[in-house]
Amino acid sequence: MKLLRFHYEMTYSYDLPIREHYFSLKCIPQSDCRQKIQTLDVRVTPYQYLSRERDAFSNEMLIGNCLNEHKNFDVLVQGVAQTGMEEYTGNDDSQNIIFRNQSPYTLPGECIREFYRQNELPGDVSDYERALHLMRKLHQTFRYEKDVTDIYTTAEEALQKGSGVCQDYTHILLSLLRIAGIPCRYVVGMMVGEGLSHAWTEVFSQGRWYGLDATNNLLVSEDYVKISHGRDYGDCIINKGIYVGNAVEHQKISVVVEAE
Amino acid sequence: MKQLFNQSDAVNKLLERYGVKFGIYKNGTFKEQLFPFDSIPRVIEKEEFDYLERGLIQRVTALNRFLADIYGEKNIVKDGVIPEEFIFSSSGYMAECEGALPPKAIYSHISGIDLVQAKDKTWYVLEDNLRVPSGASYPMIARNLCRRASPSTFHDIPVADNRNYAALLKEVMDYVNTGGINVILTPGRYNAAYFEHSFLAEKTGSILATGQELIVEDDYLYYIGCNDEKQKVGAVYRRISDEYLDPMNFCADSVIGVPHLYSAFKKGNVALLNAPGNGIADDKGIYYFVPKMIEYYLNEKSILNNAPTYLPFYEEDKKYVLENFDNLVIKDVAEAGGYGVVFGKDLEGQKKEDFINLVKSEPRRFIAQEVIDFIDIDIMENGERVPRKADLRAFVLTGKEVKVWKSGLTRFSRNPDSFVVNSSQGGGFKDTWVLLR
Repeated sequence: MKLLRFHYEMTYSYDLPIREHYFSLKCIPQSDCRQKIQTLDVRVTPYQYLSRERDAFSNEMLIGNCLNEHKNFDVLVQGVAQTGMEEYTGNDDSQNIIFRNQSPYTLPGECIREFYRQNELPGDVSDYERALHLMRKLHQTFRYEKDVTDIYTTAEEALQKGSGVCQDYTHILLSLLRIAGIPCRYVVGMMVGEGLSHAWTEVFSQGRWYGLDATNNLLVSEDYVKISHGRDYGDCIINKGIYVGNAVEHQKISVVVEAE
Repeated sequence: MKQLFNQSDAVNKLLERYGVKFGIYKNGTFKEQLFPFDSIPRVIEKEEFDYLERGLIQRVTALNRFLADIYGEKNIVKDGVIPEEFIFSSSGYMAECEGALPPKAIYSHISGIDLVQAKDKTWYVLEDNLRVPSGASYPMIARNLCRRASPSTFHDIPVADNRNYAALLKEVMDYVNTGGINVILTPGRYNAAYFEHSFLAEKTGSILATGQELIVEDDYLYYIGCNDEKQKVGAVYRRISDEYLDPMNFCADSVIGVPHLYSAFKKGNVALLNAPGNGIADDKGIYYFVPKMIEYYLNEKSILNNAPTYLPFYEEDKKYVLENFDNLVIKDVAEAGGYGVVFGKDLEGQKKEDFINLVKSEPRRFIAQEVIDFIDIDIMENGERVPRKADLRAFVLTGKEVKVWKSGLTRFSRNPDSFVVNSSQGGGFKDTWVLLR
């Protein structure tokens, strides 16, 4: 077990005032059987209406608005998490049905199907071993490279391009696992040594959820703090916002996770 | 009754004067068109309508149970009645709606069920419309004008009064209302059915509002009237499709929706008619399973017939489809609005071979149906009675009880060779008379 201090800050500034700003934030880590959030401090400035709710997959959300004119918008989430307690156990099998079916970002095409055929692990092995094998193969084939893909890139498109970022690694692995009928989900979180948010895959096998970080070819360890999960990126967008104003937006995101 | 048949022109003039129109986009410009009315009514005998009524109530009851199950426990999938790949990878399934039970557990308050009658008089359901079905206002208005044009007809013939549609709708809105006013949410005057939105608002005593006039604050929905005064809203009959309803929960590009509306709904603070997520129940692939759904949830045999449908997903059906390809119509389940519909007999040579291979390699994508030769109904054209193809959209309202409106929208094709009755394709409409005895 480990104690991690996390600090997640999003700062938006606008050269001209914006108004009628509505936001929906999925940026709050929650306690589960693997991590325990010991202290939590969340600040949103400015706002006029702010409320909490849970989304379809029980992620904690902050929703609200700021109708008046403003030129800055800041979100700060900080606290201490106790991590590495155990693998996630037990789960609602109704949700697992959803997680074993393809979702908008993971719909496979010829490229992913071919990759699956070539790398499928034969024989009677657990879903966890299957997943591990696919992750290793994917890591060998797919290269890490920025600016090749964007947030709209699907798993199939990314594999065609041959390189991408953590979002793409995760989507491709999800798509492969779902071809095999294995429940799996997209996870957004933070990790030690990474200055941005990170994405990885969780796989359900023999009653437990396992975290697989395909980008780094690693098992998710006590150095990771989970924020949210869903079918794919579309379910885990950290900041969804709309506003009125013809302004240029500057965005700064800083994530620091370190041992206490 | 003769007196009435010759009144088509007069009634059409009145319809025009009252602004009974629908809008269409053609080549990028918006045009309002009249929906041509034919004064010869479709008449449905009492016994026949009683049968339809029983079948429609049963069908819509099962569809509502299905929606609550899919976004909740998913028992119909766990029990293997519907294969999961027909649901969770379908574009009609909206994960955002997981676990959000609507007020009074009703998903489809207003259901438009499209039926046709075959030449042997058997009725078939062609399609369920559980999202934003439109068209009820046209027969309401036409009836009103016909009664004016020929009062004696309605004195002599025992026709069920259909002018109660708004009262039925209001009853449903009041039943699910969570406290506050009733609102009809319209995308605005450039929508195809804007006339209907304003008409129903007036008749149900609801406020007609655009997204701009509504705001979510403190987890409740408010209508902002003149003088900026706010009124709490308890029920929204929304005539905006799911994707555009709330940019914060669904399509972020929407400018006609209300941000956070779905959040207020999830917290039980406002009712949405119909509830979001219904697209999964009126999906073409799911249509096949509706009779099975009825057996599963209600433990009854389906009263109404589906058009005979085959799923190439099942080996046995695939074999039948390939052997009888020329007699079938094949539909791509992902497409809508008449796209992706292929008549087997129209394909030849390489094209046919390619298509058959596609069905073989992606069987999940298609359904195949027998082509139903449905009956003709007479219309008046240049003073003569001529036969044309016609369908019927029945309206089923679900509130405290499930009720079938004793009328419906009969649409006909003006082209003698066509089976397409859509208003956007130049079709016309008739009043639908349900006889009381």
